[in-house]
Amino acid sequence: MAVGQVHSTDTSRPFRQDLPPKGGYAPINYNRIPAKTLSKPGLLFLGGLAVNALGIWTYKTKRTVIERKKLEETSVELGLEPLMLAEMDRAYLLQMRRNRDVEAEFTRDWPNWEVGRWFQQPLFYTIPEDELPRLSPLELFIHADPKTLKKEINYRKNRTL
Amino acid sequence: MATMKVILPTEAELTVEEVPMGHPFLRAASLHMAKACEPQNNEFMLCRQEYKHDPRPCVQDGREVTACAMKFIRQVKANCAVEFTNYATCLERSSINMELCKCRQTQGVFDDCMKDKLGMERPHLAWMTLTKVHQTDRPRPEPRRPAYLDIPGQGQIEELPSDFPKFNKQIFRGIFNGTL
Repeated sequence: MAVGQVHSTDTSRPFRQDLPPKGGYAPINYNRIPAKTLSKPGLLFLGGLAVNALGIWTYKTKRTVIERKKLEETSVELGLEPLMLAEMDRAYLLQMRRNRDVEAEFTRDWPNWEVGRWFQQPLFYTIPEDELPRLSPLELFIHADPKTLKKEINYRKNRTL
Repeated sequence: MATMKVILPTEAELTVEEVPMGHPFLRAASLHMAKACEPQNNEFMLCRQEYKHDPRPCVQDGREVTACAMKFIRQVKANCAVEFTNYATCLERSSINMELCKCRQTQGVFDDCMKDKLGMERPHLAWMTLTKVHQTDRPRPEPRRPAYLDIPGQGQIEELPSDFPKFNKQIFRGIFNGTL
């Protein structure tokens, strides 16, 4: 309700019945209204042909350029792979050794605990005990600060490059 | 976690001088470096391919790969430091994926410098995709022998028993050759 307007219950106003307009309502249109035709079917077909021809021409001319670009980018990544892999392997083995050393140190006073086992039961049944297990990143960095670990995992999940 | 029976390399073996460069610099140096360090790279990748998920036998080869890369980078720094830095900066600032096709001018200057001072040419476009044969003296790794084969009374037998059925029917000959 607007400011200054007062709702009144005044009964002195005359009574007025709500009725249809004079002459009645307009008749309802039951006829079908077809859509406007913008072009002919033959014209549409020709247009499709033209679009296809343009696409084939673009594909033929641009394809070699794109393939060469992809090849170059792949070559760069392949050239760096041995270096990255060597560094990654070293980091993996180093982290594994550190984890094992830490576990051996803080279970020193527990005679029933064996390093790399869960209450004297082996963790992996399908591989021999002297084989290198493949660990997930979460298991490899399990002694890290959880906040940092979460941040790192999210960063690796969301990065685009 | 690994048990004490797993033989891991010592920290001294695993600690080497790593390549202290970022992504754009690595990308800028990649193709020249791959050509200069081809024997080491191939040896290491062959080792990694043979020992699938076990990087331990390949640590020494990995050290050689990193040492070769460091040697190459020192050469570049001594001779073409300015051109190399310009090229890497261009790569970093030109596109989000650091595409090489955006920086042909700086790349040309860098290539000329490498060719004049170090005698290294940029490999041609499809050089990395060529099949290369690598000669090595390293013996082929033997597959791990399952433990149950050495238990007496179990494992493989010397000969098949005389009454062992043979599939000599014509329909199986092409598939099993009668030796199943």
